[in-house]
Amino acid sequence: MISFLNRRLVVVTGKGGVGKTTVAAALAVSAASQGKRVILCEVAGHPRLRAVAAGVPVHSIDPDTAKVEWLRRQVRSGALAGILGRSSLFQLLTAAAPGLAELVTIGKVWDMARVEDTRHDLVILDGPPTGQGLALLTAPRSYTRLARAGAVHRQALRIDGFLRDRARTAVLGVALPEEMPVNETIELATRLGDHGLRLDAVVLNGLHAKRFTGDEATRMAKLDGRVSPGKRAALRLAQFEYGRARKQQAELRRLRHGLETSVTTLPFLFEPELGSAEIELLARSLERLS
Amino acid sequence: MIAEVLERKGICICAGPGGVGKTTTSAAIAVGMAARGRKVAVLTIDPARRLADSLGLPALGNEERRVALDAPGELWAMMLDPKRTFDQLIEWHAPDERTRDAVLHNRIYQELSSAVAGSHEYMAMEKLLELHQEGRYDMLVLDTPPTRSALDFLDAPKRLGAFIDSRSLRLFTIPGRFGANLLGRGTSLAFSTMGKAVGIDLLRDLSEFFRSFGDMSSGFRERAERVNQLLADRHTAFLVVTSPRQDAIDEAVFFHHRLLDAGLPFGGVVVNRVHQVEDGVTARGLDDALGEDLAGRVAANVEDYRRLAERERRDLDVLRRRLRRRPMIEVPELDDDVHDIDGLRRVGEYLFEHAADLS
Repeated sequence: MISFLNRRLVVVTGKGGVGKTTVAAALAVSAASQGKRVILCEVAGHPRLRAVAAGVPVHSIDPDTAKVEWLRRQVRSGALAGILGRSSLFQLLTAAAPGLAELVTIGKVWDMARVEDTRHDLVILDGPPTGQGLALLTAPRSYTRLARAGAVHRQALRIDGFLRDRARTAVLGVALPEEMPVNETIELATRLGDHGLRLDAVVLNGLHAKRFTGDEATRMAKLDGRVSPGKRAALRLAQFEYGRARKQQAELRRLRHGLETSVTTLPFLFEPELGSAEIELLARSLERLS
Repeated sequence: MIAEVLERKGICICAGPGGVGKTTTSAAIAVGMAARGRKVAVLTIDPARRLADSLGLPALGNEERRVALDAPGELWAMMLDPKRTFDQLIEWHAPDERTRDAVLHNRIYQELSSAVAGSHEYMAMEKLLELHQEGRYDMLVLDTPPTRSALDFLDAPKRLGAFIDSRSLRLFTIPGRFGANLLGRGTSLAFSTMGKAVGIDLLRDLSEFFRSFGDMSSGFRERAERVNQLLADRHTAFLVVTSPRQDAIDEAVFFHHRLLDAGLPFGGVVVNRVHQVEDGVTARGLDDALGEDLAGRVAANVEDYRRLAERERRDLDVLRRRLRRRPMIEVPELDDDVHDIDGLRRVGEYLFEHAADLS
């Protein structure tokens, strides 16, 4: 298997709120520390990505600008593209043409990730949530069916080929050890498969360490009625943590069972504000990602 | 407390970023309002069907179903099927069967109704309007679709509204052959250029779609206006649901500003899964009972949770200040996942019975 960091493009996706941005940043830091010239991409003006990117350059893709750029490439006239790009007809058209917005966005990412672009070795896309992430990855293929011939068709084919080439592109899912994100990740793998794509690996974020054993939890439960309220609260917190870790392990097993791809775990950090130290810790954990 | 926010309200819209528990909050509000004697319907887009499970229903469809509930009011639930709702709208608005079939079978429509960003959100509001006009319920609770961000939810109707606006459509509904010289030279040039950019056959399909759709667009626009009126009505309340995560809080603040700017009725914020560490909690003196090693881990665990709770407290204080005096309701992280009516009632205890913090 080719290492993640030896490809040209890694697309990070997962359910909302599972830590995609953190994982994308940690992966970028890990790549940079291995001497890769890496650039992080994002598509929705995420201010947080820059904050956690620890010095890795960040490129924000604005869908509207990407559309005009796309238009410019197709018509080969900057002035005409500018006028058309601002016209309401074009706005309407790009809103109406199914998948065009996704196509130009992934097209922009592809453009940066191509071997011909010698400025970077690796592009990491801090992608949108699962549904939109899937739409982004499948847009070129769908578009080849909508526009059945011509330059657009040919370009969509090239992008599609790049995304399908496992030596060049990897899709990385991020999940939390909870019911819904695990369901969504398993479903994502299936749906990618339906489209002839593949979920290459999954990062399970926020896993609580197994701090207490079952025996210990039982011992603590027995003490419950026999100690002061302050101590009882401490014991209950420990039992809560035990229960949480146990449920998370069950979700981890369910995830592994439901997927054919490898699952790497990242520890839950009690300090929710991630500084560069935390990102580097996560980056080291991601080095295990093959 | 939420009962006060929702007093004299007929519609409650729960919006917020992904993964914060909007569906659970919506269901818990609906259960709570039914317990207060209202006839409530909760509308959700819950692809995991967890709402159906927690309400004890085998499945939810695009029609409301009564939930068995020991309460003075009634609880009904439905799962929105955006594609089906869109199809129904086409059926209503189509002047004749030919137009209806032309639209329903057009591949642009098929993509639009099932996948295009904004159509799900728009259809959720459309269904809300439909149920409101039928007037069979005292209260409607809408769990908004899982958009990339809460803001997308507000922008969606505008995007789709512009899309189906008849004035823009006219550009496409060219009489006769597509791209014919009936058009002014500028428009014709625009079309041929766009053809190069998006593919000429796609442009032709779009033109066909808009030609059939054009006849219906005034009906659609009228409804879109009614939807907007309903959202801005003083009997509507938007609740922003969030979690104590930094990014979720930032988004809640933005969303609250956007609601106020748009003149939409903002009811308050619900913060789910807040970690609380009781005052006076201590692991000291447990060595004898548990042994030094285990007692030490219990103490470390207390410290970790205290740190987490303090951090969340600071972030929530910022949120509270930004909200001025609007209600902010906290729901603690619960031991168990919510998977039945009792679980929803437990969440409801925090939503309904704890006084909102107005400090």
